[in-house]
Amino acid sequence: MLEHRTPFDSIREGEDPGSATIARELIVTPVRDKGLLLLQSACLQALQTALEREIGLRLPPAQQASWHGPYVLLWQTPAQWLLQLPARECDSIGAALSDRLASALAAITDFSDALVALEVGGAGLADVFMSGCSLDLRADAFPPGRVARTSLADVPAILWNPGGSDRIHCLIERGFETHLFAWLKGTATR
Amino acid sequence: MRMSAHRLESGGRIDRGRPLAFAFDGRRYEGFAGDTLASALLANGVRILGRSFKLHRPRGILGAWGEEPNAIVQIGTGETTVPNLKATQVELAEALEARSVNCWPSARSDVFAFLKMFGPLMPAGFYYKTFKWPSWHWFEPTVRRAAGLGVAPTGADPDRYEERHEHCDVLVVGAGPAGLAAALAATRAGARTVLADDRPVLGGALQWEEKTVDERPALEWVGEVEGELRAASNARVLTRTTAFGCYDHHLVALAERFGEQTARPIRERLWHVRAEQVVLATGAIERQLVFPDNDVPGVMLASAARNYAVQYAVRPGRRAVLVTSTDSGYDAAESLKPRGIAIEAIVDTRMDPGEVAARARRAGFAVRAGYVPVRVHGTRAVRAIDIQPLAETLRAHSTGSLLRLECDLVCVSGGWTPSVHLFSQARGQLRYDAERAAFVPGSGPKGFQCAGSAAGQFALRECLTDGFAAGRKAAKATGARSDAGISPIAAPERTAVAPFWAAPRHDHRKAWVDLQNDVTRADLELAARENLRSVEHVKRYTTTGMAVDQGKTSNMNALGILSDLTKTPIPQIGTTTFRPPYDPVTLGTLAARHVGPLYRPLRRTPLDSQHSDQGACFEDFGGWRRAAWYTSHGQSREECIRAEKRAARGAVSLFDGSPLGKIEVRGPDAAVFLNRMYCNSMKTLPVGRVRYGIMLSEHGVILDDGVCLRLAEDHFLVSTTSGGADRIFSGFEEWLQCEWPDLRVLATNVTCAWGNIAIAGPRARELLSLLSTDVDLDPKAFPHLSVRCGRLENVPARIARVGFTGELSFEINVAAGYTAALWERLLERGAPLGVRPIGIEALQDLRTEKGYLHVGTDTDGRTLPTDIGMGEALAKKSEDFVGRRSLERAEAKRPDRLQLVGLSADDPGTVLPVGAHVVADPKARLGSQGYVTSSCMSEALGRTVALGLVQGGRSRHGESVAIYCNGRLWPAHIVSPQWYDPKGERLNA
Amino acid sequence: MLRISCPWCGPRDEPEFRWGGEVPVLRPGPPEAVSDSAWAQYLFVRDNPKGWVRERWVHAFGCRQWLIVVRNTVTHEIRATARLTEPLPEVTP
Repeated sequence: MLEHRTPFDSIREGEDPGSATIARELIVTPVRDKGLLLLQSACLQALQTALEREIGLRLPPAQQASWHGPYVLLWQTPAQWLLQLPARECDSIGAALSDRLASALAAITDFSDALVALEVGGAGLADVFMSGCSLDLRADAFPPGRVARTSLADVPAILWNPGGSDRIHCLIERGFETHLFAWLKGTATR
Repeated sequence: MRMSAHRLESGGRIDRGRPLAFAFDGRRYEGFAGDTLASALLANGVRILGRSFKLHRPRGILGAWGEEPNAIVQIGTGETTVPNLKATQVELAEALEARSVNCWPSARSDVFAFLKMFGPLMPAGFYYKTFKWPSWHWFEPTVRRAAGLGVAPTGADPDRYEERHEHCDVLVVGAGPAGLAAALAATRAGARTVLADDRPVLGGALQWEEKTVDERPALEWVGEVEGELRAASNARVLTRTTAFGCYDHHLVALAERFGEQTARPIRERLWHVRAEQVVLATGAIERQLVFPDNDVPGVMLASAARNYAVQYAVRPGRRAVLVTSTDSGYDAAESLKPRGIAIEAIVDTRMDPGEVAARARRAGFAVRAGYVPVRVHGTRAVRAIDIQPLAETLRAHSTGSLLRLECDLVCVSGGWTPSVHLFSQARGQLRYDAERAAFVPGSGPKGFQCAGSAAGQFALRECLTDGFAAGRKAAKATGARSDAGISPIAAPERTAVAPFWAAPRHDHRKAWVDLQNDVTRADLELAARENLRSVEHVKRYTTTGMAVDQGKTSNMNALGILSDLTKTPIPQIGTTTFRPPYDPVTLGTLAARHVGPLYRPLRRTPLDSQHSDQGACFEDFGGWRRAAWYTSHGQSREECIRAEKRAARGAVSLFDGSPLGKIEVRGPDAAVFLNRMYCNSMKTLPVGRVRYGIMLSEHGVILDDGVCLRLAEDHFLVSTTSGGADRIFSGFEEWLQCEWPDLRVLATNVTCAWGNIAIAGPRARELLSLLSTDVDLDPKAFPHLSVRCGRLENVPARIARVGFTGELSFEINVAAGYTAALWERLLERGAPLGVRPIGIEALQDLRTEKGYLHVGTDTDGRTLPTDIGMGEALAKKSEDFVGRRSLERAEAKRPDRLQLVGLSADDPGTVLPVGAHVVADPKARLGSQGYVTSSCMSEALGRTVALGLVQGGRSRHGESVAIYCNGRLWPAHIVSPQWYDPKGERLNA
Repeated sequence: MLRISCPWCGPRDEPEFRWGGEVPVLRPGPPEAVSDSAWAQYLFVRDNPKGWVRERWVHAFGCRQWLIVVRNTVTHEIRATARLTEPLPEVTP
């Protein structure tokens, strides 16, 4: 068996984002041990039924997230959702969903290694993010449960508010994490 | 500290407890916190701050803020220096170093000053007319030195810049009385409000106009409003922030400066403000009066003189003559007199100024109505001014009733020009208002309002009510519902003006229109005489209104003069187009954080730290940080690359192919879809097999190439070039959404989910078999161009027998998270086999000698699949595909198209330069028949190899040609591009 | 900089989108039945009107959906956006 590594493992001394506090007002926490499944289906009813049976979650509408226990569903596109779940359940739930959707035009793809997830929190959050993202990310404009696919620091990003007024979860494609960390560190040093 | 003779004993909004030492043109001076560089220099008696652009005439300070045309300075030195700032806008800071521009060694003694004697020889269009032969480029360096502005920084800017996006209901630009009232109303109504002003303090002209708001000193009111806004949770107040551009859909760009203090976290910040409603309370700028010698240091806008005296406690002169064509000009006299500046006379160009003159006379001022200035005495400073009744002046060279007034300051007030720049940028229409002698905002774009003097409301009373109403209206339009209360009020004022575009031409003395560009009334006359009619042409011909100040004090005068000269009403002449920026913005601000490593995002592969450990030299290839080659102790770059190539040909090599695009295509119509995307057939691809394919644009041009793997009947994996993943995936989405929504296909870009390691070399199978796998590696069971899904070292893997080297090779895809461990294991197990990681450089050479093309290197924007030898594959395919019809054009079938060939230099040691041309006529070195696209020394063949695109090349194999580059010629032969292992025995092994 | 209202994601800044040209453009086929001029018309010839035009854009940094934008080429005003599945909005230039 090969050792599984995340980009956080290979971040070197001195460029570590996981030292928790990037600056006084901003805390960056890597989201670890989470699996991601990309759910695509042209038949929403079939996907809806499969999800309700497997994890008891309804498909959230556009720009929204829904969650239940350790499962989070993020709207991505009109026929695409991202399911965040415990890493160890990724294979079994992925296979179960695939089975249930066998007769529909649907695709379940393991995205656990495709995206890097970060939780960013702190009072300066909106100020920092809005220096690299053109969306209004202040708490009243980006309330809990809101999902946005956008660009952050010139990198495609999925942002969502998991609840509360000073936390945003951010998912970016693997490979961009060093760029984003460098950007976050520089932005936050005010 | 001894108070300078020009500094008032008391008053002003300067901090006398904080003296600041600074330098100008190498001399040391002292000023106070709260000063601008201009006010501090005036306080030190410095009158000459620059030399004029063309003629190097001494120039002083005309204005007090962004309108200043003369006092252009360079701040700082080295990397952080900023050229072409207006001294009037530079906040004084401790140890500030400023220099004048366009003069040497200093403004006070300039070696180019002799140029002013040639003034009569340098009319409008002088450069265009004079430096034509043999070429402008001969003269440019010298002319630029003599007629230029500041110098660029000497190195990379070490300062930090940032940007910020902001969304608000109401953006108020300008924090003078109208802007403050607007922001107050909008904030109180509950709108999310941003107030931006380019000055360090709020209040605008209230800082020096000594007026009353709501029956108390105006500055008290300013303080209260500022306090209320700063305390409000729905308001943001930005000072030192210039709104410099209005762009589409209510985007307003602001540049926020953090001053010249040393310990600043960032230097400037760019704000992108998206506002539902915009209130432009940008004020108005006083105009210069055009009369002979009006550029002598000591001629100053009346509002500026007042500003210096009241806000900065500086005496800009001892004896002043006020020349005005407006009522508001008289206000300056009332502010200057009590501060010890004698008012020699108020010269009003109007015959009958009415009540304002009568009141001035009652107050003891000498008013000369109906007089015009005809001459200023003094070259380095004003000594006196000659005035004359208008009727006499109209008689050329008449000296009748000439009156000489001794003075060292001439205050001029030519009326007010509303600052409609941003309004106009937002596509607001301007309307000429004859009563105000100015262009004022007319019908506006939705969501934009001008308020106060920007709208032509020059009196404080109207500024306040107009601003307040605009703020309330804007807030209401965004749905804000709270009560804004009532507007602040002020006493009524007189603001009459009679346009006085220029004193009548009286003699040959120069009357200056645009001081910054040395444009005189005579230049405009010349332009009119030469029949330049459009105001845009006149601007470019005479350069009036150009450069750093963009003619803020002069444009209206130029239009008025042009109107008189061409007998065309001003509204018909119109204005030149207002374009961003309103005021210059540094490149640092616009670049913000997009510099250095953050210039653009660079992706790292899952093996990035493994490459680092192995001494990789990284380069940016298509947005990915990739290993170009791996350094080896004591070996040169070339030696390292050669060793890598030897490993691939003689033993086994590892290559990080993770950036290769990976797109899963699933669904019952997957085969139909891909058959349309590739120009060769994919429908016929058996499950478990791999096919090289080429994708075209609708123009038939090669877009991308790569392999297509069929994992199941309804499941394909498309491999794109490394930089092409996003582009090709986007193309799939576009075809599926826009053209063929009926196809039952799902495409998923999984590029970053998987890592990819290519094992290539004669010992590749041996290496792979050292790992545990359930895939049968036997060549019979697993031939070239096939794919197997299984497990490798107990993790899921997709293994394909494909490669880019021409050797036996396996491309292994595993989840990105397992890639690093797999790489390490392969290196460890393969050590006895001589395994070596290879970088892009080696791979490029290996594929060149194999004759594998690289899209974009060996193809260009015209290359069709038939040009690279795909004709046969195309002929076999009957179905439509993207680009097919374009291949049927006559142009696509010309025999002399550029086609891919090998180019063999007759001297096997010659590496033909990439880009060198195949020439038809070697003697004349003319007639390109194509060019070299890839070229290198082949380690395996012991000679150089090259690929190229050559006219009709596919039927010219064996032909001898001449290759030309940079004066050198090489004899060569056209050959097949398959240099290495042409039969493919090695890769089929 | 335009602000485009994505039918799925709401108003977003222009850099999140990519322009895809005028619509409708009908792809002629099958290839053997298409004349050179009809193919050239499809590839190169557009109305390019002064005034209102219907275009397709893709929300590349967002939901990656193609959408219809009714834009004025003089003022850059955007009058409507629509999903591809909705009827194409009518325009009078």
